[in-house]
Amino acid sequence: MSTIAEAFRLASSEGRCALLSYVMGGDPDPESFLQYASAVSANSDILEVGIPFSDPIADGPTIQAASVRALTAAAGVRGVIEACSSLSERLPVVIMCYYNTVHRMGEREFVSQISAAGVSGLIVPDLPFEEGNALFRACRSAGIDGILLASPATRPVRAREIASRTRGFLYVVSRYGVTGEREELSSQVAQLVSSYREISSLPIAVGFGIATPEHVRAVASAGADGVVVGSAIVSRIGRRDRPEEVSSFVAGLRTAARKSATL
Amino acid sequence: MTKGWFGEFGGRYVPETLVGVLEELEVAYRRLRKDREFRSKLNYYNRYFGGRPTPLYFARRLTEAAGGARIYLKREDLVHGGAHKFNNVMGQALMASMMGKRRIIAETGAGQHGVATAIAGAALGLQTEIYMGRKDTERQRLNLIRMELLGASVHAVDSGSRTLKDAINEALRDWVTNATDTYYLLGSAVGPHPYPEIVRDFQSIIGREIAKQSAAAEGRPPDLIVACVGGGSNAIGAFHPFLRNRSVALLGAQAGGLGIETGKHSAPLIAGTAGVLHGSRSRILQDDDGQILETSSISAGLDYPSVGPEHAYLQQSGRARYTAVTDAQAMEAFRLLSRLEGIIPALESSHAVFAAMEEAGHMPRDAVIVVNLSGRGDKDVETAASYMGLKF
Repeated sequence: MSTIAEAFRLASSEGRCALLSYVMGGDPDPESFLQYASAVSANSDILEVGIPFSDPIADGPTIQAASVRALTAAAGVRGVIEACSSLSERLPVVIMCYYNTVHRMGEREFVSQISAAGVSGLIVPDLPFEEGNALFRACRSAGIDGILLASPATRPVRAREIASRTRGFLYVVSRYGVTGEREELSSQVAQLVSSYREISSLPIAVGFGIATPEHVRAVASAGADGVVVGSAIVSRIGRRDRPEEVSSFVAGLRTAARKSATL
Repeated sequence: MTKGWFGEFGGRYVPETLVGVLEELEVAYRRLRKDREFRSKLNYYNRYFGGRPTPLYFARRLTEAAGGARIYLKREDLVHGGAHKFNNVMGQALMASMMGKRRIIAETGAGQHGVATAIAGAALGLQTEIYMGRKDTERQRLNLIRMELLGASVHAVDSGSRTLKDAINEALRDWVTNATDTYYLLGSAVGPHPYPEIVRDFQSIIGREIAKQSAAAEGRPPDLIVACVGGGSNAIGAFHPFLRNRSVALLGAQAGGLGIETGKHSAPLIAGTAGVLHGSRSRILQDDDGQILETSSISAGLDYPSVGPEHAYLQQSGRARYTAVTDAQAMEAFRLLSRLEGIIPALESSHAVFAAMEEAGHMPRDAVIVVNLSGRGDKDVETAASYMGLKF
């Protein structure tokens, strides 16, 4: 069983939706990043680490700003990957990056680097599966889960294709749009989860726009196996809250991820 | 070739939400391009609204100054709106309208694509929103005002380098958010499949007219066609109908900025490497980590770190050549064309004029060059005056 599958299984056995927390690698600077990432990891089931990119088209203002901070602090691709080594000893780490980052290093070299850093999964938000065959093959040989996203715009035939190709879990995007906090959670979430449940045997994690314990509770009660929180954590790091404060915010999210029905 | 690919360039590198929309666009395009009503509407707008066909004009005094081949100008500067952008915009805006989309969005660099989009949006009654880098709203103020006068709303983009690249990022983010009711009217032969193909096809009217007009004027196709290449839509439009006729040489002029050796330029075909930006694999300007580099050019329309994937392919296959023209050289051509021919060219097009004059000097006097004069220079007069140190 992959470390990601194991993390979902464990959360489920504790009656929780798994909490996948996103942080931007090297944000706000490579040194502080490790403190924040450790603090976040302490209360998360899976850690998603972004690699900063100059032109993040799938991201809203919060994560764009994190990219700028990290790049300004000279966070390099190899540095971010290396920083994952110490984190991956504690919990499964998933790298999230744009395709040009992988392409520039070369797919095989990139996979071998993240594999050496103990990374468990890879998400490339601008890489539809048609263009990702070779990369995902390389991931499989290295024992890394190539995680695919499905969106509310994805049509049924394609949704089945994505569900059959994704590894580790299926990442369901909660709404049209880029990453970022929203006041309201999309009302479609429960329906999305149940329609993907029918076609996927893997855990389903919901992300994009999930910012508060209330949102997390809603996703958990919609029947999801995992919930991804990004911008709400990243904005706290951006305004330099103390790592303990960020950690306790994340702890609150994890508490909210308990499935009340099973209590 | 595989669908959506030009050799190893092209593809569709987009967030999952856009995959379905791009498929819908592709299906609509395949249907509409053969649809009689669509074709007759587009012909109508091209002729009576856009002013097509544009003349192929013999530049007598420019030819004398260059001292070699006969130089003709394909007068895209005379198209409604002041640039070739209209050709693509009218086609795509009609598509949007016939697809039932009520809102169109577009990015713009120099503002020519934004103006053309605002024009088409007004003519067809579509809600029009334009993304433009803050830096470009400042250096192309005239076009900013034109867009607003035409009823479009312009969003100044403050992220990144605040130029065309960032305007595209923002337009893509808008599209991901509003994909159901919004049509993204991409302005150059870049982006994910099927945009490079759609934009090329609508712009190919330039090359088809050149073929007819050159036959009428010279009894044969030109020996060389020269066009400037930022994203590369005017160039691919001029080149494409001639790809199979190998007796016609093709030359693209990229923005050399302050000089390739200074690193301050916008010439990915000259100094770039393979990479993926804005949905397609092409040649891009990037560092060792794949971060996109800041570009530089006196012309906002060429200030872009990638290039249409078909150009990357034409370069690799050897069918077209590409060269870099610096800011200073483009300004020299700008001044010459204004003084010798009474035509103030866009700074973008001035790059092509310079490259053509260089070539003409090395070609026999009976050789024929066509320069695609992609736009007029009204928008650039302040930049040019300040560059030349003119005071009024």
